[in-house]
Amino acid sequence: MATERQIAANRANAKKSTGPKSRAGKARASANSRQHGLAARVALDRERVEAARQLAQEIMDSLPGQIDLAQAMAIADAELDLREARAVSNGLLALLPGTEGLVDSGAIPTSSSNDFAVGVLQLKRIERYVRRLQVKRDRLVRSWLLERHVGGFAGK
Amino acid sequence: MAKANWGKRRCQRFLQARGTDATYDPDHRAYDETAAIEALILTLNRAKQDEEVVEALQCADARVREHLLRTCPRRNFATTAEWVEGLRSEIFKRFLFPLMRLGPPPDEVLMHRSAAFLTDEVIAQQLKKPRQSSMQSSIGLWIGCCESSKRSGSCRFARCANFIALPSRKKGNRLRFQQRKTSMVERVRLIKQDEDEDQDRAKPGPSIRCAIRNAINPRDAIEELYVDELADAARLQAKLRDLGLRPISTALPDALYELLSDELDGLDPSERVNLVDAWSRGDPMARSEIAALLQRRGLTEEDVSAHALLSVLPTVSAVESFRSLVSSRRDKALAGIAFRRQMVSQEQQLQRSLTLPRPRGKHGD
Repeated sequence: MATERQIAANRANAKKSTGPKSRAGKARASANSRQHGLAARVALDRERVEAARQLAQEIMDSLPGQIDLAQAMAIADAELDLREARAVSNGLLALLPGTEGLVDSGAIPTSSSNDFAVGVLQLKRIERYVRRLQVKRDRLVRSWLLERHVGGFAGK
Repeated sequence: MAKANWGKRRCQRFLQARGTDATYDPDHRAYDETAAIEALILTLNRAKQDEEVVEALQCADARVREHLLRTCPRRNFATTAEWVEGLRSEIFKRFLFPLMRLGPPPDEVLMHRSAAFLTDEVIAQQLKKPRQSSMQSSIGLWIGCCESSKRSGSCRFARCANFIALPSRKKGNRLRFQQRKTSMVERVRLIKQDEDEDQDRAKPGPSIRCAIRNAINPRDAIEELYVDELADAARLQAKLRDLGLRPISTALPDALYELLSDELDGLDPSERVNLVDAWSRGDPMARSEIAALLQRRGLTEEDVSAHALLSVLPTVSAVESFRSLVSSRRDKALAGIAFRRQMVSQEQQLQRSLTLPRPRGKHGD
């Protein structure tokens, strides 16, 4: 058990610690709580904006006069997030040890079960994020539907 | 890219300086007489001593200098200020006013002057810079995105790359940081794989997506989104169904070794390995031999399977848990379609009730 003096010394030492000083250290520490990095966004990603616009246009074309651009863009944006996360999940699943010959089930995977377990845990973590994105998109779709529905009754 | 831009701007400043120099150089083709005379007047205004006046005149065109020295010699003026004033009035009267009367030079003259120092070499050099800049930007699009992903994760590639190298959560693990710099090949592979799958999905044929699409028959783009979701969940489910059994089959030989350690240790090492391999492949001879050994210990093949399952139970449990997550995602997508269709049918009912004529009451009102 630590003595009072040790506890005091620990506290004093802890006060001296003000985090990493070097640029590399700061960069490393800035990612301490990162889970998967999929939620990271940049201010302007032209490819992404273009894809969102295209998808929003598809949605608007299929629902003429029923949805406005802002709603379609919001849904499209959420959908693109979801697609990206799903793509990562699929890619990660394909990288799992022992999945190369999944179709011909006669072969026995030779890689260590530890890698497999770690891979599955990563997949679970990403799947939870996919679920969150799915809920976000569904909430947008539902709010749009309810808005239309309420608007329809109000019109009556 | 920034370096290329900086280089370009630096070159442009040098070029500007060369242009200015040529404007005031009487021997250069780009010489601008008006600008040179104005500059001479400004220089003379600042001159306080005779040496400064002489120095200013040395910079002027020989014709101008000779004319000024002939018409306004120093001996005709008592002080330097008077000499400067005399030179200025002569310059205005003899050179500047006639030039100003002509007005601004025509475009041809300006072009001729520009062409004097904007040579083909200079233009080629200037065109080379943006090319370098665009090349560097296209390369930087990839590298910059991935490298900056430590802070922001600027694109899909970087995001994927970040996740492949998901680190352990141990503090101070240097490997964690290094792993994020996953090789470019790995990143490309992951994205390409997904794109290939996208192409497979787009191919006509009895794929899972086609089957689901035919069954649901989506009416608009929103329902298409749900179809994609369902197809993805179904594909994952199919993969995970096989994947769930993998750890058990991997652990079977080890389980057999553990259960029959005494019996197998009596055999020759190579013979032992061959026997277990043949048993795991389902060879009937090996299976009967192993069954006999197991029977001697009062065990069956089911006991081996159970032992293998126990050894990989956490992994199997994780796969099952993952499967249940995927199933719930699929159910959620189905619920989404159901809700959408329910709302649409209610809207249609509402519209129908609005368009149909109201039944008349008893008194015709």
